[in-house]
Amino acid sequence: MKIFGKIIKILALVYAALFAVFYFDLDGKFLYYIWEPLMIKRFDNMKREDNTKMPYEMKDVLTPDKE
Amino acid sequence: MISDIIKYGGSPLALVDFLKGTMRYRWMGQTYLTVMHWFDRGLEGMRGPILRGSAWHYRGMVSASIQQIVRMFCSDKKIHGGAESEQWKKNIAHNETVSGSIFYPFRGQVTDIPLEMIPYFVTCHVNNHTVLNYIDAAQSIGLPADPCPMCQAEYGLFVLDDYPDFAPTMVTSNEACDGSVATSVLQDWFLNRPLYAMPQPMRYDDPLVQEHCQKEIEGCWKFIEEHYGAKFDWDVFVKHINLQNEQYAFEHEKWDVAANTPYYPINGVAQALYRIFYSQYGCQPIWHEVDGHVKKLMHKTVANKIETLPKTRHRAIAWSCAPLYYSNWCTWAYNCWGINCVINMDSLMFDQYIRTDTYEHALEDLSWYNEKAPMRAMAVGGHEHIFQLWEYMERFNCDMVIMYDQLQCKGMQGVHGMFEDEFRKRDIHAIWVPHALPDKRTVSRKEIRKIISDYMYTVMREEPLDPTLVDFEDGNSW
Repeated sequence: MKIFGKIIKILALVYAALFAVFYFDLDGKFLYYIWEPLMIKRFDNMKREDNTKMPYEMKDVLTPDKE
Repeated sequence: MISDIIKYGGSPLALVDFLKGTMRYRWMGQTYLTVMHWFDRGLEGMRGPILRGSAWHYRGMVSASIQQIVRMFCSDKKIHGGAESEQWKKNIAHNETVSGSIFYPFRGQVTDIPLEMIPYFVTCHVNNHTVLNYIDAAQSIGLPADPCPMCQAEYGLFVLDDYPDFAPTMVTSNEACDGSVATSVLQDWFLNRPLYAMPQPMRYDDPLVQEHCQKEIEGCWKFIEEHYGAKFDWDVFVKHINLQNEQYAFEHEKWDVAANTPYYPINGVAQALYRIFYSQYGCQPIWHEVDGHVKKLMHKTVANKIETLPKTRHRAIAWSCAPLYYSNWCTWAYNCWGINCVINMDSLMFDQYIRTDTYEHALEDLSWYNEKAPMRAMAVGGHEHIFQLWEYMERFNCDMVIMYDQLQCKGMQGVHGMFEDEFRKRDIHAIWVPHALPDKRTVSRKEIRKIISDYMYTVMREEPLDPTLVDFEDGNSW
């Protein structure tokens, strides 16, 4: 019976916590104020290849007899 | 979602690649957690069967997105120290606007993955902040700012080196219009690997271009055979085409219910996104699973005469290309004004069964099918196609048009005045909705809502169903 009571208490706490997340939009606030700014900072500062330095040559032979 | 990653990745190790990709690519890291918010936006105000039916459509799109993401990340050279895995050698990249159906004969030998469908198209819907980086990047190297922002964003991904390197070759197209030719040229430059360009004619119903289009497809098949050592498999091709035809038969059944009854269990945004996603990506088992559930639901709503959107005051058809950053305007329009967006233009493209009795018939129909791709089928394929609006309006029993006005689409800007004249002549209620496709900075969501509300107050002389929804700020939301 005690175990049953404990399970009910734990479930009630989990429910209350999830309800608080929903009611106060805590997940949305976390994403908007914490996660997204962190990601923006990360991707803005990321070192990337400069693709514009890639040489470009037209390799197709359009008319084989003029090769 | 986690089980999908493991399923498509083949082992729990796929979770590691998924995480690595999330931390490597902006379109993933900045976007994927906001997917829950995307569900909310697409389903807000829905109740009962329409909530379930639309949610099934979202489930299908999420599963197909994860399939693509996992396939890209598991074979991505950039997150595996430049290693060319066996899977990398078997993948073929293609523009999101090259239909997956082109690759059916090689399914099982070569894996076709659209390159921009997730990095560009899906992310615009899920988190509209991300795409702005790519548009700005394209312009930062001196490319003009006035072409279609879809093309700009697609090559912006390459300027920022934010594309996964998952395949040794690529197939491109000029879909939706000639703006995409520049995308192909730039992709050819940035990728620096074998690329097959498969342009389609704009005036596609000219009988003189059909043979040319069929040769383009055969050229693509030859390109695949040469680069992958794969063989054209007629039986595999027929199997997938037949499955696709089955799916299209159900799509027609759905249209029938949407057109003639108030019992259709799919809302406007789910209809639009699911339809374009599955027809563009091509036949996959998940679509059949989703359709099975939706079919059961739809048969139930019809049999029991359940009105799925009971607050409907107007049945609208949405025409031309939609604002990707506000694809969920339909849920707002229904909740606020009772405007039920029954069908949209892009749902009606690719409307083609493919015969499989002979190779010649199959090729002829596949070519025709591919020419009737999004936007080209109606928007830029000749004014006689864009004016099919009147026919569809009648077929779907609509009394109002939501007329998208893509400000950077030269094709649609060219027929703007003709539409104005026709709307007046035919005495049709049409609300022009200006937008710049993925770029929310040109016309905001709030401005779009204001335009619709102004029309409803001043022309229709109606009051909102829910006045609290008329004016609110969401410029910074996803």
